[in-house]
Amino acid sequence: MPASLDVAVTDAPDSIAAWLSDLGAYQLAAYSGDTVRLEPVVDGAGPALVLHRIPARAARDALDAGVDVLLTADPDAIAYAATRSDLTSVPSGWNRAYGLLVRGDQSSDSVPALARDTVRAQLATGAVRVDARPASAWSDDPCPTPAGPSTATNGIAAAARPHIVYSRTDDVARSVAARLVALGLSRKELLAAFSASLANAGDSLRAEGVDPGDVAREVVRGRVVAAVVAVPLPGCGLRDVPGMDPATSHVIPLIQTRERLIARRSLTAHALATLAHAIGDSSQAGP
Amino acid sequence: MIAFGVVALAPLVVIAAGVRREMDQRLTTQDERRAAALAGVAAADLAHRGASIGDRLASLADALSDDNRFRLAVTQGDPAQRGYVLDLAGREMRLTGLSMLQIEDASGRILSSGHFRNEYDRLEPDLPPLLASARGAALVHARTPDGPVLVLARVDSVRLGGRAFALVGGDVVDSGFLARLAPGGDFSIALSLPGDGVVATAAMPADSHAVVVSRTNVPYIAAGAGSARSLQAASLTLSRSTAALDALRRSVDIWFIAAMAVTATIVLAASTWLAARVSRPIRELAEQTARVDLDRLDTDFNTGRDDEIGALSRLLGAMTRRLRASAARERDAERRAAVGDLARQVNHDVKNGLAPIRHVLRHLAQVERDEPARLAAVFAERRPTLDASVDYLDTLARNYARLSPRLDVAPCDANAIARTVAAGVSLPRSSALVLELAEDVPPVRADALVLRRILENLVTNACDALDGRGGTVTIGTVRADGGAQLIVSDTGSGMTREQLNRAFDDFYTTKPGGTGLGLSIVRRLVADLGAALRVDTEPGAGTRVSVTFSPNDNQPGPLRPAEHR
Repeated sequence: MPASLDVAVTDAPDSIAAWLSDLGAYQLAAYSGDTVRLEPVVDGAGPALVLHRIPARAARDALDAGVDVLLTADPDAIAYAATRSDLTSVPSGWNRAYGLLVRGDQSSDSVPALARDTVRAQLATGAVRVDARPASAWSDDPCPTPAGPSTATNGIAAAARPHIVYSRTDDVARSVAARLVALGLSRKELLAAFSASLANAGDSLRAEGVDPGDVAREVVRGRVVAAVVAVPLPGCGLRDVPGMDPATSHVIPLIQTRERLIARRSLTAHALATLAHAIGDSSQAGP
Repeated sequence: MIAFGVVALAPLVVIAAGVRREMDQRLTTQDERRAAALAGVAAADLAHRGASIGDRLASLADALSDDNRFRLAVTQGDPAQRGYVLDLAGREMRLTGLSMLQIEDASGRILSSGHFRNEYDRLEPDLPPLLASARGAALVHARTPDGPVLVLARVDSVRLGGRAFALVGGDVVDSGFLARLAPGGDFSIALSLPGDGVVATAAMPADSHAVVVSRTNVPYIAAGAGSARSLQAASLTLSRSTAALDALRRSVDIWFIAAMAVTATIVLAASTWLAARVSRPIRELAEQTARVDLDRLDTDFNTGRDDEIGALSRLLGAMTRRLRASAARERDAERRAAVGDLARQVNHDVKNGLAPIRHVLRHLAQVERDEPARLAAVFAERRPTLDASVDYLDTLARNYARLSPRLDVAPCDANAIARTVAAGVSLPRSSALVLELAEDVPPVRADALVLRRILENLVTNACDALDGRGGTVTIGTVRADGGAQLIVSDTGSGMTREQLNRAFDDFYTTKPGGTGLGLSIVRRLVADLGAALRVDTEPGAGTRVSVTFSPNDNQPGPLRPAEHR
């Protein structure tokens, strides 16, 4: 078993945050910029893990450069790895959930489940370029929903722009927002299942990328009609959405996504198991 | 100087105006030609852009006909290729450099969209046939997640398995696109859509005056009511900024104005130099010449100049000297003539005075010879005649003696002399003598006796002018320009112009028994003292004679001509 494993992670800050919150048999040994070094709590219990955060476009270059393990959702990198006999890949757990944040009380929604499921299925199968599945529930996590003070009023403010905002650093969120905009052009009845404001926007509906910290705030403050938000799984759902105000807004679940663990076949099964344990439970993942 | 400036500047102004007009015409013509040529380039470039889009779509159609995965997906409905098809347009769009690309099936359903990946499954059946009817590139609004964008698009098609697929692709038309069409920095281009006004501009300076060079119609697929579309015409307007040309004109104007200013400055300097060298010396020479007369020939025409003005000045100086010599000779001749006249007059007067004496003496001699006893009686009888003749001769001698005074110049109190003269005046009946003496009269540099004689003669003349009809004789003194002025005036008969002209001649008199020497003596005495004599007179209104002494001036001065009031 090697003393350490180089692990490249593409644009997955949430994954790293999840690891650092529950390192299991590992502990944080060093942190510098985009590199994190994890070491086993018990000496000799496993290899040290050196995590490198890289952009998605550099994923295939990382594989060519001989990285031990690549954790990515980039379909091009996954397709490239499938063509290489020296590499093997396994899915990670469903580690991220995407939802539509709209203003108003969830109880006030009429919930045409069929239409929502149709949209969720389209999002999971065609809209996003990562491994995704429809999500009808926000989270199985039992974290309590914070009840913070509300400064906004119910309903859509008159000044709200007909925009669906998303984090400009999140390609999946951008794709989800774009698909919703496309549906606004051709299938308004489907959008009506999520929000009357979205359906009413119709042709004027736009997708707009904003800073990650402003995604939920734009909705809570009544500046836009909706936002695509993402939270890591497992997590505490709404509480993990920056700027979220449960008193005035709610999130409608859309999809869950996962990444794939691409490793060199020369790694021992023990090393892979150790790594899988370190980065989270992958038992939910399919092959 | 003004004439010199006009002569120097007028040709320059004419030349400047002509050159500017000619240059402006040529620049304008060249600019218009260049603008027309560049407008043609812009139109050709736009056509080239459309052709380039068509070429890229044709290449893409060829590639798709060979793409088995796309074929499987669209003809066999292979779900495994769905993701490939969805990403296909985006991938091909990047490869071909297009900024808009969508693949539609025969029903108009979007299978893949590069500019709006998640727009798949939307129906847009009317776009391909409208683009085909445009027979080239057309402007169309393409949807993106961020909103619609204007695209210069064309359409191509590919047939796979007996099914037709339309490829709609194009380039975004924005300010950058238009800027690349604008052929130069001073050109601007604007795109106007029917009903929307100007939707995009490029290189349009905000503060310039743009001139429209050309308008080109571009097919435009406009969205109508609902989803209906129609083919219309958009207008691509190429404008040219006249700012550069205007700036060039301003620059030329500034240079011309600068040239004018420099020329004007040079002309002014030259005029000033000429004035200093020519005009002013000539004016001064004229003033000096104007001061020249027979009584004042002491004007100095000396100069150090060696030019024409210097020569003229020297000529005038020489002429003045000749005049001075001539005047001296004339005065000498006059004096000689006067002496001759005087001698003849003396001869005549003495003879006249001696004649009665001679007659009385002959008579007495005859009485002594013939009647000695009556000699005493006759002598007593004839003695008044002898006495009268002797008195006459004595008077004559005194008068002649007054013709040659000797000056003893010293400061004199004019008022005191005036009072002395006034005390000795024997006024005619019904006449009055008035003294008007100013207290601030400065001392007069003169011979006191001469001054007294001047006043006595003037007062005597004034008294005689009363002609026994009564009147007033006034003796006055005033301070005049720092000097002193003695005035003797009367309310007598006055003089005519002819009388005045001869009043100062020797032996000219209008009075019975007068010698005609009074005013003649006054004139000489005044001239000897260097004072000025002035006479104001009018027949019936009296006469006013003034003698003016300059401050401490005892040099010979001009005898001011008598004036007739």
